[in-house]
Amino acid sequence: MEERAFLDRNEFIGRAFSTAVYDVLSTMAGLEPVEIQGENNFSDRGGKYITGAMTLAGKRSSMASIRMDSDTAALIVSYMTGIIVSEANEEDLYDGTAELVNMVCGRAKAALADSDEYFQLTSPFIVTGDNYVILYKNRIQKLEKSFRIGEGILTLELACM
Amino acid sequence: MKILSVDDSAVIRKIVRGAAEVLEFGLLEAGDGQEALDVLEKEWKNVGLVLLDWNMPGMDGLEFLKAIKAHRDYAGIPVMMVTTESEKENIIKAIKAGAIHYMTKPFTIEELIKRILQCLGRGE
Repeated sequence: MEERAFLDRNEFIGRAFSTAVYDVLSTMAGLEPVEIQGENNFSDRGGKYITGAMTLAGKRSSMASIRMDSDTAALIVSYMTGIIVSEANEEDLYDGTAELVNMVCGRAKAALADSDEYFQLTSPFIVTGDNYVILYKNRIQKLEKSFRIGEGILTLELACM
Repeated sequence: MKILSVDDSAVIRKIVRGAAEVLEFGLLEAGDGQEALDVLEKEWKNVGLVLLDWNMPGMDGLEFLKAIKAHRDYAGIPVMMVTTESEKENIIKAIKAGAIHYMTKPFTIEELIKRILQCLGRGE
């Protein structure tokens, strides 16, 4: 029974965030992300990865993160701003990814506003490098969704405490 | 006429730049409220509209809005909030503090252009 309630709640939150990813990318960049079923759909194109993350302060504290390779980040920033992909510098990619997670969480916050899952936004931050893993302590419940954008993959992760 | 874009995201300021270019307006930029006050000190006579984010490091959007509405020279400059904050209470706070329009992110460039024109009394 408890597990069922947990699954329902996660599905509810997951749907809010999935819709937010779609809304933000389609509105700001004119891109149509396609959700991929299954887990561990991290992009394997190599190169540098960028994660934009934000702590969500609510009844349950959580961390939301969006991870993608730098080519996918460059594509999104290019479509958002009109600058040519090859002209997007590192700062543009970090700033664009931070703003992306900010808007996705803002959109999800609005969708969850009247529920028990309501949360406050904090400042987004960036993690970047060639090979890294974000580890959480035990008893963290993770929710992961991946989206295909062009040839790349964007992975949304929610770690709920 | 110039638009002053106050947002800690350079990507958002670039999007606003695109809209300003379409409308053939100049653009001034600031990454937070204090930087925006510094820009206004030199340029306030040329600024026809401020597009203002809410959550920024240092002086945030609401503090900046209150500061300019209390200033003799800047009080008449119209301000539109452009932010991820979508709570009714925040919208009311901003409008009470003097914002004439409130737009939540995400937005399309067409929507941004339309809202800018509305703020300037040139839209529908």
